[in-house]
Amino acid sequence: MGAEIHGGHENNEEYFNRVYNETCRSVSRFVVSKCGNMEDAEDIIQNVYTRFFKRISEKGHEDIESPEAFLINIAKFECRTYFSGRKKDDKVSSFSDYTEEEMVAIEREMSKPQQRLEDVISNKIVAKQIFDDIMKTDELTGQIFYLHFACDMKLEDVAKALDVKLSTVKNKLYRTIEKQKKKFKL
Amino acid sequence: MNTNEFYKELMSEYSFDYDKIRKAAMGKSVQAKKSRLKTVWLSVAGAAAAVAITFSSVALLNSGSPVVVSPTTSISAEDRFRMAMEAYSKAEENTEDVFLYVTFRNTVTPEEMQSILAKADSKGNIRVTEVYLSDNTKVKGSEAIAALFDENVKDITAVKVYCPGNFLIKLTALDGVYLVETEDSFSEDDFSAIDTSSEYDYYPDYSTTEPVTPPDAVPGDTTDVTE
Repeated sequence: MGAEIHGGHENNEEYFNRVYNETCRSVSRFVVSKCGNMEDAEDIIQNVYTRFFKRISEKGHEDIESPEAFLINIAKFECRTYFSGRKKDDKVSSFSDYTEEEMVAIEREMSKPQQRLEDVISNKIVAKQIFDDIMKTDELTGQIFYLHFACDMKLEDVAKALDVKLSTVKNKLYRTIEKQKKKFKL
Repeated sequence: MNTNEFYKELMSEYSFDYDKIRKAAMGKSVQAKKSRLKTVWLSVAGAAAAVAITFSSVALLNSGSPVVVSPTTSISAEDRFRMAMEAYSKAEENTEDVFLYVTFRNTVTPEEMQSILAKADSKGNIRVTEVYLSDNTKVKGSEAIAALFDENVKDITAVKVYCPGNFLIKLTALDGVYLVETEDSFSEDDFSAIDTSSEYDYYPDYSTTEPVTPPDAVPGDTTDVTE
């Protein structure tokens, strides 16, 4: 016999949609900070919300005080499951660090408007190739780009979230951007 | 646009398909999209075969069994990308139906193929006329293609579809799609799926290509959700 359904199905859907809109970015941020592979991260996020939807469909949502905390707990569980089935084969590419002066120069360069970037971003083939290139670099680089650019996190906060040094974050970020400038003629 | 803005937009656009995640979590999208394409399979059974005849008189004779495909050796991967890029830049205004070759990033099952293509169209405008398999064979004709679903093997490298020309843009943007090429790029029956495993180290020079009109600005989503 199936579990009792609390409330109408439509109400659950409305509740789910509202919570999803309110939490999908924070849940994504949490998941990406734990899992650097974006495809795996997307699977985990989907699993989280699938579990959540199943839960509220079967048992209602009246007892859930903080949906975000509830979802983050599910995400923790899903991330643990993910890591338990995964070999520890993270490769961190080595590179020589930029000097402080070089970093300042790169940061300054990044703020300058460039017409060509608008052309590139509007060409979905090229843009997707550039995105994939970032994600193929290594997982930490993908995490840094996502948390900094998609989640608007400061580099200091990204370093804390990923438990790495700020200099590592900056070097990964700037080195990848410089590499892409040459590779994709940005 | 500066580099910071460029990467913000890039990461926001390509990181996650939130609509897809939402629908999948609710158990909606997969079934709905499958059924839409399934309808297409069945409703265009005659049309697909008829369309196939127009470019190959052998199509009907071979509609029930796989045929061996000659690998494309005459066109380099770089040229294929270049032609795909050119086609992409001209596709926006093309509403006439055309044949396109869609190579998937990884081999997919028939159901996965359906699911991927369904994201490009919800009105049954994409007709799959040929399916290319990893053993260098291709399957033509609706019956033979439908039979692939029985075993649902993860063996499909590419498909040939018949759809409005501007769908090239939609198909290119899909997750799981590696490259979309036009029929004009190949001589008859000369297509085979491009190698997706090699590192993409070369890149065409876009400075000589037609300028691309940027899409209309969309108000930014500045949602700031705390953890």
